[in-house]
Amino acid sequence: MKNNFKELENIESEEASFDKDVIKNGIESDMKLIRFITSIVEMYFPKVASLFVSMSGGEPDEKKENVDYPDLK
Amino acid sequence: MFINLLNPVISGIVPKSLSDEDVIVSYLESQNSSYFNILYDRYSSKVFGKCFSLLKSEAKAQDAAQEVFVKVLLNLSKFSYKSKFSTWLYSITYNFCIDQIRKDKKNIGVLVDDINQVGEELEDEIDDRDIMSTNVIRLKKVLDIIPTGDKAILLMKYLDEMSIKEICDILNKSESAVKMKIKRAKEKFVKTYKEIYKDVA
Repeated sequence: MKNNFKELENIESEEASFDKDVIKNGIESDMKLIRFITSIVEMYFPKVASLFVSMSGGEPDEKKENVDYPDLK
Repeated sequence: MFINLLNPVISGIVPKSLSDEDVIVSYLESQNSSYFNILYDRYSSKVFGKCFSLLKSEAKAQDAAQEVFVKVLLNLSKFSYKSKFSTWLYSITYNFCIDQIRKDKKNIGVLVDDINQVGEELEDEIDDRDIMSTNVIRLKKVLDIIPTGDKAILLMKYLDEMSIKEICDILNKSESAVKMKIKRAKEKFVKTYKEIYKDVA
């Protein structure tokens, strides 16, 4: 069956110029930024969480570790 | 040279004839960007074409294509292999473009669900062949005039040959709602065509 939608797509893709490399570079830089932000969050989130626990009067996990495994001496 | 040998695609270890699904599995296992490049090379022009067709601006289409591929990369692990990768990719593309148009507040109201407002007097079923065989220049003109929501649904049906079920998933609507939307889009298409080309219709 004749489908002119496909033919139109071909014509439009010939008419519209786009630089594959520009988009690819954009994707790479976006991904780098996302990875950087993710690693920052991963690195500092536990510390921020501990800070909030401390501020609310609780004991951060780091200190608790010593309590969980007391020196039996 | 040595670096090229380490690159699975350049060194020929990865045949470019791999299916999309195999490429995705390999990418997820290795996180090697060469695998993603295969998908990018296969689909970037199609994705750009769809964005350009809906957004009607090269700059916007370029930005949209970039964001679509970033979304794809971030969500690739969620791809369920139930549908073809191309269908999944195009669904992200359509949804992104429709959201973009909503944000731009162009064609406002066009994408809003107004199924209840229209459709009481539906015409007889319009033959798909009549729409698909429309002269290319006229087809372009009519598609540029009708609301973007109608254009998108016609592109899904006739260009990408998506099933009703696939369109339901993309638009997150029931089967009957999608069928009604398609019917209305077809009617809009024919009505617009007749208005422009009175002498022929």
